[in-house]
Amino acid sequence: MIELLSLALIVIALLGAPLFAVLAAAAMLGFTDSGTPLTVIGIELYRLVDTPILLALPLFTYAGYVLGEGQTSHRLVRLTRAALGWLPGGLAIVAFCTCAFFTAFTGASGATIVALGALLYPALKQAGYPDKFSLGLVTTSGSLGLLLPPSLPLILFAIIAQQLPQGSSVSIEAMFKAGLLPSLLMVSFLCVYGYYVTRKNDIPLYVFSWSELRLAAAEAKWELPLPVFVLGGIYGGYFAVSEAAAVTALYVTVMSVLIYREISLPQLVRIMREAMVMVGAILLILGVAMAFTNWLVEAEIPTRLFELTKQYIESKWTFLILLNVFLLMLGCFLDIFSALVIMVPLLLPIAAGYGIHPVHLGIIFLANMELGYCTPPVGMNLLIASFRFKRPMSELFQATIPFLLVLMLAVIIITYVPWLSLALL
Amino acid sequence: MKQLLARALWVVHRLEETLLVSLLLAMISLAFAQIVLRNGFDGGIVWADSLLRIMVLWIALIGAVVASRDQRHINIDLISRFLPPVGKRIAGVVSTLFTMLICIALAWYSFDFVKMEYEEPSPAFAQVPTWVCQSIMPIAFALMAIRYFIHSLRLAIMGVSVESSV
Repeated sequence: MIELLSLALIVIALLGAPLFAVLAAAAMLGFTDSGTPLTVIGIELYRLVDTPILLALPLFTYAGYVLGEGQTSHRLVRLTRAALGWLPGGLAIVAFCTCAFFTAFTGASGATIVALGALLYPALKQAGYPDKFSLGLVTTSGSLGLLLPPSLPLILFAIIAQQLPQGSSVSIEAMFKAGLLPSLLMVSFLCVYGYYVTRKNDIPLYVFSWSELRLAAAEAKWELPLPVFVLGGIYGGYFAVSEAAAVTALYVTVMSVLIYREISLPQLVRIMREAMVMVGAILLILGVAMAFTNWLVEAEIPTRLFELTKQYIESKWTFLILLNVFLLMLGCFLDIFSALVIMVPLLLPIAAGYGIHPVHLGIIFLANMELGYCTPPVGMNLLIASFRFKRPMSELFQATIPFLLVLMLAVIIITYVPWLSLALL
Repeated sequence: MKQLLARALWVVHRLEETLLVSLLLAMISLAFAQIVLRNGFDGGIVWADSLLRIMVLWIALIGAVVASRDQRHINIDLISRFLPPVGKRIAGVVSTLFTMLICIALAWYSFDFVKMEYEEPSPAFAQVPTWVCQSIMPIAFALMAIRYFIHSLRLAIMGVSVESSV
């Protein structure tokens, strides 16, 4: 009976029922099976209130939406171009760095392609970069920076991991530190690739000029302190994560509405509504997923899964190879939020059984999901880029393949060199 | 009758949105005030942290209500995108009705939870009892159930689910 109902749930999920309803049904099914009164579902949902770090999530999401809406992207590109445009591979490197920075704040919600891609794609083409290369670059870069603080998926992973006995030590701060070196690796690989591909094309380089750098920095002077709040505040231990989020939210509001005057009050209200709808969708899933996870742990399902895998896979390294393959496939079919709430509670205890540090697992997981943004059939970057640049998804996918291969190499290194993720903890 | 219903929905929508935006504004202000008080004056409001956490719950649930109106909830949707229009319509009706039932169940069981708290009240913060803070759960799920009922009707009758966002 329960098998049949579970199967029906999976079918209904694939038919397009909202994930929160599917997870809530799964949790209720599980609790009924183990004889727990279903009032537990209310109690579990109310546990959202016992998770103080959740406060950071709506605040950072809102700040990201505001930044995505204003002219920050323009100022950011100008400043990075003035600082790095003279390097060989010039504009491509500028594009990778700005996209990574921007995505960290906007949380890979597609805002990077809409705000930055639309700016960078014509600029790249005008500078003489091949069309296919430019398209692939802006599409891939839409999720670059996913591992940089204060990105939403990093926060979510920490919150989900904390629900599990094996991951109770994973803090948001730890995830924020862990993502730095892997991001650096990905961005530098892409920069080297960008240089290598375009070295034969005759692309004039920018001449470095102090006065342009000074002007660009002056123009972006209000944005420049942002990374200081987030990174300096958290890494230096001056701010708790939620405090940094509150300061960031207030700061970007004052900056965009009062100082730059780029966002009008009615626009601000609309942005707030949009951001909070996104937050509501994510937090509701998180709430029911917490209930579902609790049932999983009580029913000892992760432990049983580990014992099962242990029979077939002995070494940690074999497990990591299979994990990469599995996550890559998963990323093709699930968006990052669904993948996080469904798979992390199952995978983290198994990985812990093989002696993989939960923080390292988080970085592996998210790095693989970053690739999933650009793979058909549901890669969000492909969808958004196809909509934005009016190209078919198949053409965009072809253009992103070389970039994906470069990123895949980076993901493999991130997987087999735990040091990259754990060195800064 | 139909106009009255549309009018009532309009009022509920504006209420949801106003509440959502006000909560976010209040949350940013309170969180910031707390930082200033804590660092500048070595003080701070005793119940501010509890209130902030409850605000997150309220934002989450009201945001979720608005998300159900726009059909903006995250779904996996692997099969239906490859179905012919009729199949898509049936899949849509089945999944929205399913979601409605789950929302009713969630409203029912969280109401049960609120009732338990109400019978043995405890303070959540300041003088506010916990059951008041929890009351948003059954309300939000009931509103979501209504939304999904409307979606399923629209899908069944007209074949489209998302109305222009009024």
